[in-house]
Amino acid sequence: MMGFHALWGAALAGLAVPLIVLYFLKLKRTRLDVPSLVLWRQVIDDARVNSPFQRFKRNLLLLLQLAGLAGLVLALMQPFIGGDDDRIERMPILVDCSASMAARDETTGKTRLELAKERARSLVDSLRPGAELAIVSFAMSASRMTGFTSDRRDLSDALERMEIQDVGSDVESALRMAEAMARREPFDSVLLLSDGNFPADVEFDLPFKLDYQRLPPAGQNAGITSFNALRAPGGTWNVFCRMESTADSAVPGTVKLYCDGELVQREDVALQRDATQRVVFSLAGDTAKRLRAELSVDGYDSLATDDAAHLDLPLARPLRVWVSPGLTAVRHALSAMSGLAIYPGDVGADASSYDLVVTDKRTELDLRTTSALYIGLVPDAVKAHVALSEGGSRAIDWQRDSALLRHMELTDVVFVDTPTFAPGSGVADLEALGFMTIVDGASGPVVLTEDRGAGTAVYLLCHTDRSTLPYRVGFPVMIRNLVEIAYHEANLAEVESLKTGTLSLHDLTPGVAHAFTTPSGHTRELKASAVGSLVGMSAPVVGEYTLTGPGGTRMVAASLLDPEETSLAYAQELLLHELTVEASLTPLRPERPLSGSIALAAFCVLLGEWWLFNRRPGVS
Amino acid sequence: MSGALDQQAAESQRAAQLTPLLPNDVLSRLERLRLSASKRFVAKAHGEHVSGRGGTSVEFSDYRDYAAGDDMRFVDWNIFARLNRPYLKLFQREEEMNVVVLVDASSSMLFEGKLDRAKELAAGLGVVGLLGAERVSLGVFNAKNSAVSKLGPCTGRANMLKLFRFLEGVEGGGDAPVEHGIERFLRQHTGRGVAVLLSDFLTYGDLKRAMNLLFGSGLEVYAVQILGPEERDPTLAGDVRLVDTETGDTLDVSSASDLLDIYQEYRAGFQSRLESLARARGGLFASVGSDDSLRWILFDLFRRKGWLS
Repeated sequence: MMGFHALWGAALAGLAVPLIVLYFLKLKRTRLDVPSLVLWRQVIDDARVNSPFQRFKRNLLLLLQLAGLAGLVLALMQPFIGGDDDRIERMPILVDCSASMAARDETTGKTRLELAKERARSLVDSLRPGAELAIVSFAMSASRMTGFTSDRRDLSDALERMEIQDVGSDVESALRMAEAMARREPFDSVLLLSDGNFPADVEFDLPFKLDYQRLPPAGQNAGITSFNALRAPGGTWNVFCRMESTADSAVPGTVKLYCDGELVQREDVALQRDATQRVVFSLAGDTAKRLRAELSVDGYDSLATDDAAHLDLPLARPLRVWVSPGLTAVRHALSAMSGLAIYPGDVGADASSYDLVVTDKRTELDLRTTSALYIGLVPDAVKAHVALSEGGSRAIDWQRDSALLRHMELTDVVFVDTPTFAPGSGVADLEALGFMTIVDGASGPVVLTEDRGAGTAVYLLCHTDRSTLPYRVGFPVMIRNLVEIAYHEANLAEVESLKTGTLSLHDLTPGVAHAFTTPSGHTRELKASAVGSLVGMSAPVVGEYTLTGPGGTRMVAASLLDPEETSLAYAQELLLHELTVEASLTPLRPERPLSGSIALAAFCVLLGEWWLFNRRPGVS
Repeated sequence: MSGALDQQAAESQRAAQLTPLLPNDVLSRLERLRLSASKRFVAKAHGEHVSGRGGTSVEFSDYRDYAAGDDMRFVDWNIFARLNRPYLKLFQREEEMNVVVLVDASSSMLFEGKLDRAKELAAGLGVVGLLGAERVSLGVFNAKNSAVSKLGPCTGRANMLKLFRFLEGVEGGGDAPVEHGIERFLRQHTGRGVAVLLSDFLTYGDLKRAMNLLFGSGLEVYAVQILGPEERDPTLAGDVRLVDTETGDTLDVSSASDLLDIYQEYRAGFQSRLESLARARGGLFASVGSDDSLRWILFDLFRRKGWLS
């Protein structure tokens, strides 16, 4: 359907009248005296001379000028051929920038993000006067690139700045951002450009119309979806690498393991859809190692960022445990376990830091440790809410899925001391302070846990010496659970690759600024917490990140390791509350403005008229 | 030095010319030529032409097509009965012939040397008539409201200079159409013979009536249309305003170059009509250009057409 944006331009067609008048006034004829007009009159009266074609030829210049004027007037009226975006007055465009959008099409070589940008750009280029667009990119979270604007350059620049983030996509965050934008500047519809690689179920009530344009799949892909290591007996590590593929038939490939930059092992694999392949490498744990796994396949691989994974293997050392000398029951339970260095003991009087501290002394609260079990000690922060008194208590309830309380039964355990909530205090107050109750007594908490970032601190408010707990079968089980927790928190039992998204680093100099540098070279300063942790650092791309501080420089690598992103699976429809939005593969047909073409044609007509006027003889 | 001598020689040569209208060598050749008349005519005096008349021995000569104004007594009714078409009997009778030369000197003849060529042809044909013992009369018409300038009738070599001086003194200009000039001349003329019309014949008027008058007066029409190069082959282009020099009328022509083919069609058609008019009255027609060689016209064209022998 054709339309005009500026119908008022038609009024300029009235210029045709003065044009015609001026034309005939301007038309000069050469006077020529002839002996007689007898023959010429007969010529002029001839029907062939007066045919419409001849009349046309005689007034060709005028007709060309009128055609040029008509073209300019038409161009001024801004004609257009209507598209699907006729209704657009104001519309945000949500562009998926997650890892799967980097998948490259085998035929065109374009990534999904480039294709999304093309579609968005076509809408920007055909933006009608008065219409506004906003550009929102989203991956793990949404980011507004522009506000609502009709400035095509701003919109194009925003599209240009959009980059892939090697993380999964959260379409809900994008829809919520659009909802927030709608509160200030209302609109009717939203355009979503994505490959559909996100959960189809979205917890969201749509207050606007959603056009979900799914980009066509790029092609088959293979990638590493898991890269971790488990401590093995004998001080070795078993390194596990899991790979997946979207190929319908088995595709041969090779996974190579590099240790500190050197190729140490390789394994041939055959990858196929719905057939996860896992390879295991065995490495000595005598030194810390930086591992990198690389996957290459013989067929086409559309996504490159999932073809490599990194893993930092620590030295396979014993767990350093400090146990207060008076806690004989604990020492006894620990003595049955191997792989521990118990302090003070044969290994030494003390160490600079520990992996696990078990103490009942307030003076040992500041021992540097990752994990801790404080026995008979009420945390200072909790004292205002919980007090210990004598009277006896039992465990009324406990979190059976807690890592510390696995396989334990506390029903018959008796505690001499009674932890009691202060009047007006409750579990919520403790949670507000960061303490979780995992064992409840009749009057108050019996066991609290505190997540200190790097590790967990467990507070057994009642002393084991004043309970029947050490005599229960569950006590050594609890101690073993505690040791396992310490192993994990010290990264001594299992090590997993760091994934893109956010990074958390510990054991830093507390309260001191550290320089955090991304793989692209951007650096910013971040201050370590009081416990020496930096939590939630943004790591959106695959690669090596560097942290530099007083304690030296630490390098950590982030990998994609996302089975969903590697699968390139797509949701054909979005399942919202009470609404389902189907994906469309065809892009919005933008409105096609015709002003430029018509103006160019009019200009060519005027050029032709100028040329014809100048070459015609006998006209002055 | 040699240029001055050449100029002197040219001036001497011009001074020796009998008339600027005709070179002496042309005059010499014209002396040996006679006008060929195909029609039977009557004149009172004795001349070199043969005619047929009742009362004397009449010898049948030929047939020709009947034309309006012919004497019905000489129609061969036998042939008419057979062919259902009238033919006129021609007889031979020796008789003196009138040679009337009419020169159109209106404004249209002033272009591209047409009047000069007309005067030259008038002089040449007049000389032929005079030396052929014919009675030569000259008529020149200019404007509608002015009388026709007339010379003669005269005959013989002695009147050659008179003829030349008359023609040399003809000035062009005026708005007289050719048919108007013919009619006015015929009011003053008697005698049968040949009428040589020297004009461009570019008139809106009725040439048929003029031709009929000539024929009815016993004058065989020798029509010579004289056109300038630009009239024969115009080179107009673009948008022009044509101005008729005789009437002052104007005509706007656009894209003139696109109309030249049509112009040629109409010119050929006009010429054809003129020829038909002349032939239907037993006359002859020729169209010459003012840039055509005088010698070619007199000694080649007219002789091939049988005007001169």
